[in-house]
Amino acid sequence: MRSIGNDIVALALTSAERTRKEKFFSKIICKQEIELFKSIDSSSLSFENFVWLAWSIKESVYKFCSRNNSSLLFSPTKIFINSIQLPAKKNIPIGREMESGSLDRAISYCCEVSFQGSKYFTQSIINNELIFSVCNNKNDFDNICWGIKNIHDDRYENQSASVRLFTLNKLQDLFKHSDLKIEKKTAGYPVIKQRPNIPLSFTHHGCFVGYAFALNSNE
Amino acid sequence: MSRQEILEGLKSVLAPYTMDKEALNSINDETEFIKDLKINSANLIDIIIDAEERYEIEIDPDSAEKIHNAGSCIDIILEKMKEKA
Repeated sequence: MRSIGNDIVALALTSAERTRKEKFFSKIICKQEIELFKSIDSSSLSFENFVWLAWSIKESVYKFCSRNNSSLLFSPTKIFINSIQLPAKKNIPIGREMESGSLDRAISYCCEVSFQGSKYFTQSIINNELIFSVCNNKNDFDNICWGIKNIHDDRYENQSASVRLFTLNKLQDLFKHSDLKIEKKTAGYPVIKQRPNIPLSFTHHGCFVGYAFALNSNE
Repeated sequence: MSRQEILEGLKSVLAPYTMDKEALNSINDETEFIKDLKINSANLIDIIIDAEERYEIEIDPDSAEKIHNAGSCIDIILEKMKEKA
């Protein structure tokens, strides 16, 4: 079964001071991942952002896997980041809205992840305000569409409504279909009523919402 | 410490992470942190650490992954307090 997972972290809602404490970061990353951080150019990625990048990656992997296994429990330290490839282009500004495009790989942190004996791949983007990750089980993101939006009202109801509207606008634009509907499965993930074979994932944190969906190769 | 006392303490632990004060006031064992209290998953580590500090316990990853509602959280807190005693 095809799947997708994504996650967004609003950095303003995280505490750098708390993140640097071993008691905190040891619940997200393991010793091997700390070694992985030491092996990369730390001028481009602070330790706090690495910890939240790891969180975002692991949450997106969990969401990818839990779509097909609703009883799966999320335990960040049981999901392992094996490798990380830094983006070729740095300091890419992210505006109020951003969507997937040809720059994806050049601006992304690309990681290979292991979980329960399987490999997963993630692409993440980071700026001063957010970290956003998308997970796939193939190292191929060509058919994956994603979007991020900055919203004014961070109440849950508005986050939820905003991400639906943002996604519907994109889907209607893609499929030239004005009557698409998004429903929520009892397992918790969203589906496009008229296109149930397109896996869709939502995420929100504070003033940021994001979607990701995987098109079929012929779409 | 009784389950009810821990539930009351848990309300204080959860308060900074939920805007839904009505749901927090009517919390019971079945109250889901993410679905009912609208707590963002990014705060789950904060909640575990705050609970560890409040009850002077350590919650390992195997126990932490079982916490999804107030009842499972109280179970883990009681279990860890018993282990420590």
